Amino acid sequence: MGHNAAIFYIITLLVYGGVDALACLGLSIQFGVAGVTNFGFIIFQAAGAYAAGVLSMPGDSANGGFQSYIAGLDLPFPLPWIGAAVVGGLLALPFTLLVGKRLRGDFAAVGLLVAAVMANLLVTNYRPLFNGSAGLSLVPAPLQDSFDPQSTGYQWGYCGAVILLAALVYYLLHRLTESPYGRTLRAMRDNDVVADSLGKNVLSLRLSMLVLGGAIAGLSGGILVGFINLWAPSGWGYAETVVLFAAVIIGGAGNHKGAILGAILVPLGFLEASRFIPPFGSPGLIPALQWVAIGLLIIGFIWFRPQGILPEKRRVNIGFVLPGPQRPERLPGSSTKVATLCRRCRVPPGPQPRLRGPGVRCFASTRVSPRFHPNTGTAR
Amino acid sequence: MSLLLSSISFGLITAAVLSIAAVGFTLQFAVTDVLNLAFGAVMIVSAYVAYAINSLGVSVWVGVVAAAMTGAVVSLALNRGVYTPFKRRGISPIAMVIVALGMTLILEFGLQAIVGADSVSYRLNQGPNIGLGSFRFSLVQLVILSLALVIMTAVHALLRYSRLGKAMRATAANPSLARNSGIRTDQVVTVTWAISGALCGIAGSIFAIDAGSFGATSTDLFLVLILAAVFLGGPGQAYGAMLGAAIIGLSTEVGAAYITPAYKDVIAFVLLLGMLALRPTGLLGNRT
Amino acid sequence: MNAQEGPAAAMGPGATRRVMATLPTRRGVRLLAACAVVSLATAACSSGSTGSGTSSSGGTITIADVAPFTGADAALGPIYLASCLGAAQAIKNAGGVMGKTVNCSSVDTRGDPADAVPAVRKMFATTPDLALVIGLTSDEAASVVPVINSNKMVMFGMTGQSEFDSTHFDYFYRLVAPDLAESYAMVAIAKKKGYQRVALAFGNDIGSQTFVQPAVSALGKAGIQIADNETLDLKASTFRTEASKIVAAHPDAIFTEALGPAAASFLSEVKQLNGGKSIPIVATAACIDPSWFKAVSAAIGAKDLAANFLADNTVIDTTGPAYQTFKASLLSQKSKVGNTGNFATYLTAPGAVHLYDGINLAALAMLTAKSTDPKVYRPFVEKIGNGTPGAVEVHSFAEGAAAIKTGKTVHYTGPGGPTNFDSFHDSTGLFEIDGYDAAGNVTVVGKLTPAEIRAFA
Repeated sequence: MGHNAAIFYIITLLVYGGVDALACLGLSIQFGVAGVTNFGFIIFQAAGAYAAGVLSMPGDSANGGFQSYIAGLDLPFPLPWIGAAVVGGLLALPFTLLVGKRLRGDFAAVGLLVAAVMANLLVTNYRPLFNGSAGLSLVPAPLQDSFDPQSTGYQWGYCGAVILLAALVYYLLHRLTESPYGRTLRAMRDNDVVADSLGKNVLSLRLSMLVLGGAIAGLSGGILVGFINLWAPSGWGYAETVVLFAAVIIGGAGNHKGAILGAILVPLGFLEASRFIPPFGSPGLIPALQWVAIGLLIIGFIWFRPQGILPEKRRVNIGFVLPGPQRPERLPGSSTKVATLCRRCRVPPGPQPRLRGPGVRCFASTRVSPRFHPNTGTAR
Repeated sequence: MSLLLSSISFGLITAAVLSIAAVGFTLQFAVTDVLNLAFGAVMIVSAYVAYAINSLGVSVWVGVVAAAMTGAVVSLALNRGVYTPFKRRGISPIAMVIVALGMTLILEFGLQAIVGADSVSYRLNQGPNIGLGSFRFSLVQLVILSLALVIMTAVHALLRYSRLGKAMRATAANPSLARNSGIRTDQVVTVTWAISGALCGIAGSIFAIDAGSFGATSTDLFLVLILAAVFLGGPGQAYGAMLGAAIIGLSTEVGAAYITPAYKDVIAFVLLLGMLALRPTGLLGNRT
Repeated sequence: MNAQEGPAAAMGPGATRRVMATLPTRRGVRLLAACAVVSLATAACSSGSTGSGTSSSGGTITIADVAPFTGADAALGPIYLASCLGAAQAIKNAGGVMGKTVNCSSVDTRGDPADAVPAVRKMFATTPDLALVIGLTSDEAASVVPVINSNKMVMFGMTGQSEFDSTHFDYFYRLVAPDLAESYAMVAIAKKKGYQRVALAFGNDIGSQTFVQPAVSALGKAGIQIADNETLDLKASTFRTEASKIVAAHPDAIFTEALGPAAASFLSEVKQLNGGKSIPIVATAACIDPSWFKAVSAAIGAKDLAANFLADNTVIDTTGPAYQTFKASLLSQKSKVGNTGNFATYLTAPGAVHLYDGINLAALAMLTAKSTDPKVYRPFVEKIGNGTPGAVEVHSFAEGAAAIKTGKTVHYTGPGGPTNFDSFHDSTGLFEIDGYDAAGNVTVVGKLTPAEIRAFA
């Protein structure tokens, strides 16, 4: 105990942090970059965890046969983790039905939330699928035949692998969003009407971002289940999605650093730190207050700092300096277009303070710094 | 009663509770364009107020009135204090939904912090069983059904025949035009939230009475049923909400008679997702 | 950390540019995270320096109650805490464990195995004087027992899950009956009462669903017809369809366990649909709980519940000397546990009785081994529980402490009855049949012999 226990605790925190970071990265791709508010996000992580579980476990008559689940292929590492990512990505496909069409953002969000609740209900009540409410237990840890999963060396190795994966995914996403493809994505997020009119295939862009985010989330689930060796429906209610959303909003949406920061601060930092508060009041008081605090944090951040702690990098375009989401291209035309868009978004035209944040479709010029354009000589 | 008949009667009771809630929810959406996901939280808060009053020895139905008042006050505060300032800032509907979720957390878990994680039960005598044709209901259930009918009629009368109702419909259809026609839209919004808040409170207390036993998070699943009813009928359409509530209530309970009852809510979910994917304006909404 | 400095004050125009310059860079973020980790480490290390070792008088040892305190099973954590507080008080009155007092701490697993693991790891990192873990319900046991076992900490678990019937965890002890045996006991009760048609209505959570399969097969062996088998979704608020299906099947009795508000709603609907008459129920030991009684008696009436309720339970020896001490200790803690109804029901609740026994076993083992280190005192737990030749019979910590002081070995038998740990450290006591009276006090209605239970295995 003592020293060793502290190390194990830190390793647990690091692994959970890595998993949360991956999940937040996946969410930020969907939410912040592709502009899809996927309230059903937790299903992707859960699907990945279940996939990794049933791929790595032996058939369900093993271990006394008290569980009941599909597959059970006893595959060696790293196949379960790859399978987790693949399943997470594939699961995104049916979701495009909800977000592909011209469905209002908040309607789609509600639909996705309901899908998450429904998935949880189905898995809980249909036992032959994933052993119902008891979930999958005795899930093998990766490479547990060659190493002792409870040894310090293995735990550090696991921790290192998770952090490495998180860093790798971060790097890949960073390259992606800095590329021309990334600009197209942001265009789609900021104003899909315009992006569409400019010939970008909005539907396939959304789809690919959903699939990518889903795959990352699935991978995070596979990693987590390998670590705690158990996965039950109680671990992925819609409350968990809210926590991840809070993390992305607070850290900074549309921004991979922000996602990681959010992951460290909210699921890891805040929820873990509250365990250190000396108990007061009745036993259930602190967890209840924790949720109240998360609600306050969400609302506080959306009010005071909707771009999060690490806002999206401001990208400078020729001529105009616009804070907040980037404009896709120089818009041909003038005020009539702006007025039309604004009416559609129900925001009164004219200068508006603080019009930024994910999913803001309206395109209005705010706090444009006056600059003389060399060719036309206009100041605007 | 045969299983089919009894499941229809259960469906009617569910539809009754659901209709009161769905109409309240959809009115709030109609005039402010906000999906107030904190509706379930306000319901359960009002239910606890009703329960507290009842445990002091006062009649359960007085508790319902108290719940209505609580619902109205809390909903007004919610709109004035949270939704309106955010709307004035021009945040997107998505961000508004996230704000609503944040408020749900605050209200529900604030309530849980006060009343504890354990559940409470009504010490309720259901009254004698009464036959209605081939149906049998308990007295309490009949009161719930009649209450729902009365409220639906009142809402219908309000919307169709009163000036306030006309103002509400105008504000819902086109706020700026309504304002320009001289309708005090701010007042209309306030009154609508007060009325729908009262409906929310009544729905919450009736829900609790119907369930008998409840806790601070009991309305989580019920909110999904409300959403299903609202979207089925068409968001913002009061008559749509009534229709949606009837469909959802009956289909879930009748379906439960023939499939495993544990999956009965899946019927509602599938209907909701189907409507969103195929016809987001609902059955009674206008295709925009 | 940033969470505290977080939300900036309302931003004026142009503030973006200013703030951008001062926000952390990528390196800064990593540095921040690293600092957080390091400070956490130093905090944990400094508080967890030497660990528990040989005794010294004065100081405390901690018993952690690892259980749900929030969520659907929120009623369970406080019961276990109550028994810990009661046992701790009794130990303190008898002079403590080698002069140290017992401190009870709660570790909320939130009923979720993923949340339970960091909670338990944090417990180990920040509780240097941890000497025992109690609790461990079916919600989280499968994920945390391996962790606790690898930390070499003795634990007394409450989970009846079958996987613990035959898996070797050296430090895991269980005094409650496995769910398998409980199901058989329920069937034995049904057989005794002469029921010929039985309906099943169990909640859809982990702890309740484990009873269904064994009950179905045992009912078959007993020749009792299964009239209907319904699963109750604990998140739903009404169960009318399930209730009407059960009523339509005309069972003689209903086997049930559905914690939270579900049981009360369900049973009141059964009563209403059955023309105002309740159907007799046979419940599991988890329904011996003051909050369960309070909820269901409010829904169907206390007299009605008392007349129609039977539950299986392991024998609580209310006549022996152990019981009086136990009762006194537990009742003295009444004010520390929340208001959940008739507190006296705790006296028969398995979570209270068996964990009290477990704590006493562990404490006496510590005295015998002259150490609070689990690695040292663990082997004595079995010896004191199962008894060794020539051991003195004791029924409370005080008696045992006195005997050990004079150099004797002891055999502890507490209110939970005689212990017989098998090779997997599971001990199943004798079963009895419990009922409620109208005030919520538990009454013993009958006894079951091991043969009667084995008949259905």
